Amino acid sequence: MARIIKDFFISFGNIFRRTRTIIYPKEKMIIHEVSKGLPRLKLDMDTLKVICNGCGRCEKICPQNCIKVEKIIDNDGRESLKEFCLDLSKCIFCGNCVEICELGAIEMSYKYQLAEYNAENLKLEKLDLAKQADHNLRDFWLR
Amino acid sequence: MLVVLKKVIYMVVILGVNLYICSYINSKFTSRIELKRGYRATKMGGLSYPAVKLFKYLSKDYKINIWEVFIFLFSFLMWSVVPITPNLVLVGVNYGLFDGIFFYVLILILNVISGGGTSYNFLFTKMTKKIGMTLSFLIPIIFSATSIVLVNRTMSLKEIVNSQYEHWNIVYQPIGFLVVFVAIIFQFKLSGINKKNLFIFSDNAYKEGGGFGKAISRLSDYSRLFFLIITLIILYLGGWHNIYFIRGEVALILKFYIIFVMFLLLDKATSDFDDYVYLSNINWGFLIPISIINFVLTLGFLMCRNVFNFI
Repeated sequence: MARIIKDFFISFGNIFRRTRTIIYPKEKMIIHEVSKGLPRLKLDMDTLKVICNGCGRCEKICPQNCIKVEKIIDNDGRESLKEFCLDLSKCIFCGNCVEICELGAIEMSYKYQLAEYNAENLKLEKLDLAKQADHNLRDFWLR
Repeated sequence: MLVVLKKVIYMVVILGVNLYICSYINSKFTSRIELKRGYRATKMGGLSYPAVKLFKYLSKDYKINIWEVFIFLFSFLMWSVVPITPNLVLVGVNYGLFDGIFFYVLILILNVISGGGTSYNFLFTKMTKKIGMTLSFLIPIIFSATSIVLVNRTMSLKEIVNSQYEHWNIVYQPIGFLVVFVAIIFQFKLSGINKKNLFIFSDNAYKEGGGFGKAISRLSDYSRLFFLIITLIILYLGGWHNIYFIRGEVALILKFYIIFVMFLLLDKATSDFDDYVYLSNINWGFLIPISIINFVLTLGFLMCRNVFNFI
């Protein structure tokens, strides 16, 4: 009985509380700090080159096999990244690639609006993944 | 003849307006209680939502079961014996309370007959179970209503209201009021006014956008609930009597909507009700004994006072 009365007043109070839902395209929702969006390749700020050296660990750890990495060896014997392909249609945003990377070359951005008309557009390459710096900031609640 | 026609039009308009408002309040409050924004059929706070919903139903092709039409007709016919104001009653019968309950039971039985047409046996079983439970909640209501009849010495709903000019019946029968209130809440829950309607069991009704049949079934459900609320107000809360400076009609509207909103909130506050265990705990274990005790106490008191002159 006491529980029903308590629930009654909670229901009554909810009428005056702020709603939790939003009108989606019009208002942007606040994204949680630890949310995982589109993975992006980080750039070295001095040289403006991709940090990734193409070691291929992320390719091995990926449970969905959606990452393909190719590396080349320079004339001076250094390994560097040739191509990095990510198939977003398969990616489950688990973040294993971020955790396994020793150089910290991959991070999850906050980009969450990933719908595309054409499935081919979901196959991202090295340059596409490096360009996602804009989505490094969280969108704020707009009202 | 014209007077009756005028009264019919008045009652249909009153019912229609109330259906619209209650449908709107139901959708809006339910979403607000769940911290959702609610429906936005238009930008004016979704005021046209019930109309849009009705048109959506009407536009669908649907085979109407003849029993659904009967249910719809009887749910409106039920209002012919219920006085909304002293002058606004179609048939001034002396046994209004009895007639009202008779129509209510008839509608529930018609629901069972209507559900018999379904080809899904499990749906029919589920529906008959719900209606059986709803009917069992009528037992405490009948006992409490009998106590009211004993106190007021009449079965006419109009005279029951008139006899409350000094004190409302809730003062004399607080336990009866509590019993009827709880019983109506559970009938409200069982009819599933907040969720998928549990009393429609035609084959097409469960499909999305059930069509015109769903619309009339929804209307008859609301009409049935309005009848229960109005009966509660007439029996216990003074009907159309003035409250201080508030006019009787306005007071009736206020009481109606306060009780409707309370039912909505209590519907959310209580868990789902689809098990015989709850029924036996609440109805057979609590409401019916309390209502019988209340009836026996009232009868004993009246006998002591009127027959043996002890009091």
